[in-house]
Amino acid sequence: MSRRKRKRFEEHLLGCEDCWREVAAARAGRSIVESGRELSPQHLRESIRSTVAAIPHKRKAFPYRRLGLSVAAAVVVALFGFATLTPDQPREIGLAVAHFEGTADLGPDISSDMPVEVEGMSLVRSEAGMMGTLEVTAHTYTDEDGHTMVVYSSNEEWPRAHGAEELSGTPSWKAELDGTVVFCSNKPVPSLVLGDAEVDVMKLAEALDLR
Amino acid sequence: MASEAHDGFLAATLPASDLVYNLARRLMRSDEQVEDLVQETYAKAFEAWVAGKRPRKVEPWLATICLNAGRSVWRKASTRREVPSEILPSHEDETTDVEREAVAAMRQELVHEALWQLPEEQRIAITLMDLDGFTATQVAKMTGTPRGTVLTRVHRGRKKLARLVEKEVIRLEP
Repeated sequence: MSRRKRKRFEEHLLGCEDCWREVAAARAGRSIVESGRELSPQHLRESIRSTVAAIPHKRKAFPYRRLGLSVAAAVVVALFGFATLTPDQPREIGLAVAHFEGTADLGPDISSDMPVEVEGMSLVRSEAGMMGTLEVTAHTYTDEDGHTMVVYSSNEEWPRAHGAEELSGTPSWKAELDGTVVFCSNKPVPSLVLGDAEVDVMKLAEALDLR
Repeated sequence: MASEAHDGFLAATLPASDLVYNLARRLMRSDEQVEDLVQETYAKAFEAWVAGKRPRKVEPWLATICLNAGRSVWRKASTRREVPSEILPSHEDETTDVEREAVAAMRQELVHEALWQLPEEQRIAITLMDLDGFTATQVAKMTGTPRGTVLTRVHRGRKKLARLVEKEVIRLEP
């Protein structure tokens, strides 16, 4: 809430008994709920350890591990070429990353003609609003494992992230900003796909004909 | 046998066990179901972890897995709970110190039972926001509902909870 709106809200509260009661009741309820927060029992933590330990997992021998960590890092960077976070990213890109991370809202929910199921993910929400100067719709996909990816479509081309890598032969680029993978294609529709894992982001982009 | 993967996963996710436990307690009714759900959550999470699907933030990730698994079990069980007219059984009118301590200790259980009086959507929204500490935006993403709807559910749930607990506290007072 902006400072001006907050001030108006607080002034209203001081003069409106009904609203004051509403806020007080909600605060009391919140306090009550928080008093009910529980610690997980010790035996449960132990059983979690046992459950996880019982799940077999074999370490895979990746060939690059023989080269040593420093060389391996260089190989990974050469293969994928992700840009690291640099300051002063274009505003629209920063807003998209903030929205993906859950620290910024976009706007009201809308109906969508995006595919409901794609690459094992389900469309859970579509919303519309402004990101900087762009009119944007955001479509959130999640899977059963709790992973989330968001597809952002806009009315105009997305600005390029600083340090982004162009994908040769395509009007697309990709970048890694603050741990979030960003794929951009300005054709056929100016779009961003954001996620935590590059392989999943690229798969979703391909499935949606953005690559 | 534990491996680096097991140890790494547990180091990253075990600190969130309280969060998962509090959510599971509001998704499942019996202690046994709660423990099963918590273990299932961690098992699914570990399998995703070793498959390379590692989140940047484990808390919303674990909560979403728990929520999805819990709802899946809930729908399969199709339990029909009768809503009791009172949250807790009444006590004889005693004024001993032991009784007063017991009443105080029951407060946490009272809050828990009061939460179970709420509609599922309100209970889950309140648990995720007020107990697990997620923002309304995060809860909206995890539950696939608009942020405004989340806030409405939380607000109404808090008010109802305050009324329920107040009624029970008055009833339990010596």
